[in-house]
Amino acid sequence: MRLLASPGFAAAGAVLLGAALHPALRSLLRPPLVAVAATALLLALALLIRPGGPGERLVGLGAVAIVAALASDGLRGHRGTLTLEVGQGTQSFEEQGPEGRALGRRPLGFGVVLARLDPGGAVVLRAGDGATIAPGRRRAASHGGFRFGLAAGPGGQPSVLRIAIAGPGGSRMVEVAPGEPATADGLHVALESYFPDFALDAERRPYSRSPEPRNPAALLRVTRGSQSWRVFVIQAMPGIHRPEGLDRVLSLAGVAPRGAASLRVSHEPAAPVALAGALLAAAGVACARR
Amino acid sequence: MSPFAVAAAFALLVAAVLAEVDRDAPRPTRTLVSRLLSAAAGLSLLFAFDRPAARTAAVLALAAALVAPRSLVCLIAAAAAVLAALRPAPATASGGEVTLLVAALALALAAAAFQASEAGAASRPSAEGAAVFAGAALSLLLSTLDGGRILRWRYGLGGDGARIELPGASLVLGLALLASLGGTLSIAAHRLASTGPSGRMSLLGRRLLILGAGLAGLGWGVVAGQGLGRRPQALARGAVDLAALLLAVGLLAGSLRRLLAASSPRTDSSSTRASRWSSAALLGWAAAATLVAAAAAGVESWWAEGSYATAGVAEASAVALLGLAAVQPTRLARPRAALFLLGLLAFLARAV
Repeated sequence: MRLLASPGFAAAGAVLLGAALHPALRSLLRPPLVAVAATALLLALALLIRPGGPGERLVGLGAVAIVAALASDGLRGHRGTLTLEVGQGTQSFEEQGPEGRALGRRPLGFGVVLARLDPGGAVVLRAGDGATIAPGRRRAASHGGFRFGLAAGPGGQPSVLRIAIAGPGGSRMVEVAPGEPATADGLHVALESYFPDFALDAERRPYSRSPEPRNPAALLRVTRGSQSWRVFVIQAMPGIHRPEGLDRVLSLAGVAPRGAASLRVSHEPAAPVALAGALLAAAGVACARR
Repeated sequence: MSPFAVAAAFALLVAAVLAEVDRDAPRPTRTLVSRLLSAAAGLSLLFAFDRPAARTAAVLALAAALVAPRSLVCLIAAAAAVLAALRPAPATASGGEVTLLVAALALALAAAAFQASEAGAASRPSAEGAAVFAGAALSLLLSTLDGGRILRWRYGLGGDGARIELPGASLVLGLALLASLGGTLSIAAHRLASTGPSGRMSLLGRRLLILGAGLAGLGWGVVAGQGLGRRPQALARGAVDLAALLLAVGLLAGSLRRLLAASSPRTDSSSTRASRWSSAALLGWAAAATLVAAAAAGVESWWAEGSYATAGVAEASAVALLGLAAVQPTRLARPRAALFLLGLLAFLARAV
């Protein structure tokens, strides 16, 4: 306990934690989350139990409040992204864990529809209860305990896929989008899934690494009469999948942008506690004995 | 280019020189003039307030008028004013305004605290250590300017499309790199060998560092003059280089002045005690201001982006932790204060 309460321990802990948190060093050091959390906890304890006057007590209390708030938001809070096209609605968002790890879809608890994109960069969402959520550039908006901020400029998300259909009679181009199939050369082509940045996970299941169209791919449902096929197309490898019985070769020729917005969604109920802790610690450092 | 920021940079450099001279032989008139020059520079920078670097420089300059010692604060403010003078105002606000202003105040307090602790430990070995540190900083900066092209005797400003090559400046800056590196290594070798205060290596090192500082200052002038005459847009893109070079040359010049004056130490115990108390108090206020800056970064990020879990908040928190480490009453006080100061400088340099 004497070691924990020593100023040297606090100084070393603060330097280590600072290095672990700094974005420039973080990418270099890649500290494990558990080590960062343990260092923060030990530092808060060290600042709390060390001998001193009221200033030192305030610093300790502030540090404990910050660590408690961060732990609470880490366990009970949610952060993620939401990508919507104009007129599209959803009741959930893609949750992200530490280091941006995808955690799957998390319900919002209410529905939102992207009503429109303003030319100034603002996004207007309509909530299920009729409320308007309008996050703009450098101005997030709150609704239902969530904060909505712009993650990327609107209009940058690709949504219309151009599919080339090659057959004995030559090549045709069709455009498909979610809920907007196309018909050409006797084939009905519908979009089943779209992966802007295609990759395979550990279980060989397809997913998108990011919303950016770095490696676009799609799964199409192709129908002709009573026959039906599922065709996988990827822009980097045209004509890679040729299902048996289908005498046409389908390729993803490109993706065209359409009005869409990418939003950052977060639920951080302990943020005021973290702020209070930081201000308490600042007051304590200013008042500490020297 | 903003004439207000240029005038402020010049005034702050003069104030830094006066304040530095005033540290050894204090005179009320000199103190007053350096304070007034800093305050005037701060007010002048208010006229270029649409530039983020000008806001930071204004806070630094106004704080420099109040704190003591102030030569390092004036020098950092002058570097920020150079950045403000050369860089045009951004088309849209970048955000984080309150964070930047509070962090600039913290930087001014931390720089004054660092100098005050230096006054408390004034001796020949510490002056040599400061000269080695400043010489190493200048050498490192020169060797990394323009992507390390000075190592191939080439230097230019700007990027694709708006680039200008400055062969004359590359020669001067390359020679400055050789001289400052040689001087730094000579003094470091002398310190490691402990051959006494009048060692030949120390003498050679001092002379080389004086030459290096002079050449780097000359190179700064050549780059600024040629850049302005040929393509101001390219100069704007090299503004960070010029601001950093001014700061490094100023640091080296100040440390050399102290090294030359350290042969006759004249600090008495009472002034040492006073400066140490002042250093601790200033450092405490700087750490508190940095914690407030981290809190402000969290609020601004939550307001603008909807979450406090952003890279900007993480960086501000990391610097606040360095401040917390710096105020702990334990060993290695000056390295911890230096780390805190560097962290604040890096945070502001990235933000503006």
